[in-house]
Amino acid sequence: MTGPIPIECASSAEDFSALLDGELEPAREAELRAHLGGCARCQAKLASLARVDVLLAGLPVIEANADLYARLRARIDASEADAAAPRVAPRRAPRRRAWGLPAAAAAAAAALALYLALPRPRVEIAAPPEPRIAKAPQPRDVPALEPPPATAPAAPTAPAPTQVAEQRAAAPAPPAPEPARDPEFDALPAADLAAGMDLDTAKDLPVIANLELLERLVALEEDRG
Amino acid sequence: MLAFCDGDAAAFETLFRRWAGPLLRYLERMLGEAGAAEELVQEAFLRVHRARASYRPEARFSSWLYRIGTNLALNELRRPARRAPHASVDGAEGEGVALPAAEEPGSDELVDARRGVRALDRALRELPERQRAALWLVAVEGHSYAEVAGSLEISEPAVKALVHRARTSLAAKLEAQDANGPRKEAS
Repeated sequence: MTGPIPIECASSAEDFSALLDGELEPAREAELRAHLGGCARCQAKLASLARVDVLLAGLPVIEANADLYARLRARIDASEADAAAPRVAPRRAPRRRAWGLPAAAAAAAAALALYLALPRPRVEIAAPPEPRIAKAPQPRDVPALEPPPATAPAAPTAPAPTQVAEQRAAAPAPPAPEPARDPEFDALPAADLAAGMDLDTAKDLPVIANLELLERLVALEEDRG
Repeated sequence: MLAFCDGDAAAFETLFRRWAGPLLRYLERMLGEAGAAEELVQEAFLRVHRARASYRPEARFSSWLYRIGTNLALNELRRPARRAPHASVDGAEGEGVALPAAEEPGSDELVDARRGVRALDRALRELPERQRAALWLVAVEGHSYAEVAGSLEISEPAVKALVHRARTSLAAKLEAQDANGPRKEAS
């Protein structure tokens, strides 16, 4: 080797790989090749690196299993069928109307039954309870429990529950705005509301169409009391 | 490829037949496990099929496919359960590698070849995963540094450095193996 060494061997290491990979700029490649022509050490290094490529390329090709495409096709078909199917939102619990909650309905029914069944505080305990079923106010009469007009005569003594109910039924009902009604509510037999309901049954019934109504009942009675 | 992008199922099958084997060989070398590599080949082609509308004709299909495969392999290798050393390819029977059938079990050449394949596989697998991927894609699959940079999401100079380090490391191991004596001693 007699000519000048244009490239320092130590600085060209990565370029040996790049030369094998065809990634060197033409000018740099020409420069490196010129160096290799006169440097046995770099020639050996390049040959050592090139051997790796030769051995890697000689690694056996792995044959895919014969059914690999069939399995892939099945996955694709399943994926496309899934995508084509109408999007069904995750099944959510149906939006319940307030009265539709079984537990709430049962609790409300129980509360109403209790409200109707228990004697009023002013009722004498000795007074025999009237058959509540027959005398219970009809659900559609509930609005009649609005405060009676100021002219309505007050009961001189504590009336029996039935009397209260009769008075309430007879009291002229002011045209108070009624809460929104539900036809199912209106269709309910009064007895179911008044007679202490079977809660197992009641939970499936839209018994209390409007819990606000029950609250109003209670509030009115408290006011009267 | 363009026919496949238009929904041609036969064109897709043609692409699969052309590329499934090479991709499987690459992924097997990356993962060291034939079953897992097959799963990733399926997954890669499934993603290709789903994303065919986004394929850009200016990119080589193989570059796109190997980029998907590389990402899947690197993700798989990062799974905690995968951190354990790979065993199948390095196993005594070379379970993960479809070596030529030993028609002549006593053949020195064949035994030597099998041992050489295992040694190279072992050395390859000992490389850091990015070095392994970069070297394979460049040296075996013929990808450019730019393509590998895209697959590994690194710069081209970084690819150049990875490839060179991987080559140098493998070359050193092969030389050490050569220095350890004749390979036919156990035949």
